[in-house]
Amino acid sequence: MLTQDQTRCVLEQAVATGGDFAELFWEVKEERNLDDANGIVSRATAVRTAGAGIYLLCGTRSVYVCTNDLCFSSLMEAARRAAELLGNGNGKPGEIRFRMQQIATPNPVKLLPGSVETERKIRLLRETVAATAQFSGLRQMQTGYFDSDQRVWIANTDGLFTEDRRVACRIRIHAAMEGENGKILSRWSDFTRPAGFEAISDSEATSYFAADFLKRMQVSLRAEPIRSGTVPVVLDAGSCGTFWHECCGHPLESVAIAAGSSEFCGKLGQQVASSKVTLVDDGTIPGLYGSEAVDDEGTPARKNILIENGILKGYLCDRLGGRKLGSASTGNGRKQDYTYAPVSRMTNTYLAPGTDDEEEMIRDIDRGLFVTGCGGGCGGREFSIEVTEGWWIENGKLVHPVSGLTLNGRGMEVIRLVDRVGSRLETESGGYCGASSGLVPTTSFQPRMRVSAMAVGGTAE
Amino acid sequence: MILLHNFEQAFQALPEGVSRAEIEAERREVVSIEASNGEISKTGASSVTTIYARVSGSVSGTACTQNIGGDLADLLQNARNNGAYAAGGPIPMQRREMMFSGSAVFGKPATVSEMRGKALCLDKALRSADNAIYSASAEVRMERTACHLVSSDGANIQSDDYAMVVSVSVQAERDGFGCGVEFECSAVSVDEIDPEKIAQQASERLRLQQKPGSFVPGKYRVLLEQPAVWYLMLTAWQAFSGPKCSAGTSCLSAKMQNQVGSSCLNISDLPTHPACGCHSAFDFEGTPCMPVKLMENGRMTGMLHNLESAAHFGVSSNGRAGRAPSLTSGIPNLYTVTPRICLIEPGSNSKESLLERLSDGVRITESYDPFHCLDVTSGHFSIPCRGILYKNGRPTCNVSSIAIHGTLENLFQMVEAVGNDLMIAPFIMTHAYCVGAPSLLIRELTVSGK
Repeated sequence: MLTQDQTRCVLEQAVATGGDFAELFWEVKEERNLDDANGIVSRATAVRTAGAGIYLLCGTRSVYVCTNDLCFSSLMEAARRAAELLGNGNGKPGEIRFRMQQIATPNPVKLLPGSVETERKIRLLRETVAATAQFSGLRQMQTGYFDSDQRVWIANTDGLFTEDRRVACRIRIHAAMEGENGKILSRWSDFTRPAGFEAISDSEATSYFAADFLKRMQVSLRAEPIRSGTVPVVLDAGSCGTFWHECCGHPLESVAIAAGSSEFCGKLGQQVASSKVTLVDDGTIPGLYGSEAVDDEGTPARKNILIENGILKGYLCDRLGGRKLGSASTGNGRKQDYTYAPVSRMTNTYLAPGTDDEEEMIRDIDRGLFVTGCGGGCGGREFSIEVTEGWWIENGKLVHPVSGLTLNGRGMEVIRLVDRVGSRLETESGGYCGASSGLVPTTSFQPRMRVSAMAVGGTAE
Repeated sequence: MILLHNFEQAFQALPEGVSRAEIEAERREVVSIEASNGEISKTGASSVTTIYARVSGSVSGTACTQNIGGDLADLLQNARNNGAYAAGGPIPMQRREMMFSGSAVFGKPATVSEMRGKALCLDKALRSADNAIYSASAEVRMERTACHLVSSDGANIQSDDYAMVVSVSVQAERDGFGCGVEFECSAVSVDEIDPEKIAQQASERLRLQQKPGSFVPGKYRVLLEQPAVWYLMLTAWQAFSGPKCSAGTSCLSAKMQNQVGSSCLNISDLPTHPACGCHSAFDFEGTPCMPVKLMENGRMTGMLHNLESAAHFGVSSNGRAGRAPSLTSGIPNLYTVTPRICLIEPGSNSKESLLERLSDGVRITESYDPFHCLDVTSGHFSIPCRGILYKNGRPTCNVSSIAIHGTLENLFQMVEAVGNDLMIAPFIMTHAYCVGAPSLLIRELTVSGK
């Protein structure tokens, strides 16, 4: 990172043409990856990414310039470029006096992955792969070990000078499996820990994860097609919270609100969902993948209540989004790396627990769908999520597995139909959310809950 | 062009166990100008250079860095050190005489002032295209990709590609119904960006969105318009991936020369196309990017190959070695194949004639999840989309939150007619390749919804 004096010079250069705010984001990220294909380490890589971005605001106009040439003169040139791209503004930031902001990370690290010998990581990978030997029908099996250690420094013309370190380790399994019926399925899953190597080094846990993943694939291979129709849908506790991420989370980001592309625009204080719905985004929860000390603008992460008992309470804001909506940042200015400008993004998004009985939600259904695993999806005016695992319900009983379906609808219509929310909140290990500022780590989780009617599609006659 | 300094020195003393080495520098420069509601709202500039090394011999490995001032000999040593842990065997490297030779320049750079002017003009055209539009933004982006590849046996090749990309977003409200359109298109130069034409396209696509009526799920004749086919092709190209076909994980594995689609269906992957601002001269292995016919009259005739997958099938690489991001990394360093401009070739049918032939069915105007809808191994897809219900060739009502279901091969077989309205979408969310398609009339498809 530059010295404070150099940083001050870069920021002053950036606001020279009238910007009212400038920020320097400096990043160094080290990543290591080992790939195992069918029991052989096929690849080992280590990547060091280093770069910086200069973010300039003037009212609601923004400029972002980035480079991976990190010498002081190049950064001054980047600042000049940013000022030139802004053109004339009327901002007059005062003298920059830095104050160090130190916020403890919610995800502390005991053993930095960079300090662990590669042989130990290979051993972990091999022990994990060994747990899959008992499974037949595997056409292809790739297992990957990944760790990343991202350090960011953020300084701005308001005088903020802060840093954060985000470390994560992960085992990814990608398998193609053939069932007895000749059906083939390809699927991947991650075992992620936002911590040091100590959190992933127990091969019993990773082996259990690998075996469980393949068992679930075996169940999905027995999936039967269903007939299209409109039925009650129960989404299980845990990672089925993707539903909330796609149908509410994205439309509640200030970038969607400011663009007018969200159905939640202008609805603050109004009933937008069933009264059973309380939706929270919280970047401070220890041990979760979406948590961090500060967002990528240096704003401390915090807990934001978005919907409370069905009433819309707030939006997720980055600094620029906040300016556009006339509010402050909510600590959600996030981005993949220095090549992106920050944008409002989710952290850990969850449906707060209710009081309903989990078993009754299913018992009560004549014909319906029980979703136990979700893949990715997308959000907007209409959302969709991929159902990777689930069961068809008839007369209150699970009758056969289903797979490869899509649930979609208009978010605000669907969340009004939530008629059960269970009391047992279960978290998940998390994944990446992709949007205009790249891939950011998030989690989305929930207690078991039910939507009284959703269209589900299938190919059965 | 990128200058790789002192690479000759680095190649003079290769690391122990290494008999051949390659270094490739790739620089991506982007300048973007966004106009929104009458003023410049957002601008950006980036310049990111990444250097990749591959070494092969008794020890073979890869390394990459963004430390552009670093010693290239150290980078080769890192690649060798990484390789010491892997038992993947020698890395295939293209023979020098089979590589692209010389240097190639595509496209034309634009000035910031030209881009500002075009963005403002496009924003204005968008806002006046339809009274129902209440918010619009237009981004004009110049993407420059420069590559320089050198090898220890004397290869020294370069390419420099400028592409202009336009991103459009409009939001509108008609009779209390909110709708929006977002899309991208590309051009070889800023002069070729036609604001009126783009605004007209946005307006037409907005007009296709109305308050939806009810829908009865079932089997329908379907007209898939270009945006819906684009999203399918974003993943479907993988069915033609040489590595996937060799591993048996593509639904088209072992179907080479088989009839896997209707006789009116032709699919190609091209390094360049007059309707697209993006070009490719060679892949990261130095192999020239050749046009590849993937499907001809419904018969599978080609795959996308790098050196390794080509060797598996006993053919030559067609220059599709590509890199994908490896999970977390912003640096794409996972070696695989990638298409360039993967498109369904246009037929001779006008949109009007296709709609007439649709008669009773669903016109799918858009789908909205590009990446989670198709399992390339089984070929099964379930794609969320919206569209318009037709009866006797006339639109009766809009339908939304519907989904189409089936398998890729069955969909290919069910193509009854191909439109003449090819449109190419640049880089949708991938920054790596483009997809293109005309409208397709499908004989029968399962459609769910309510």
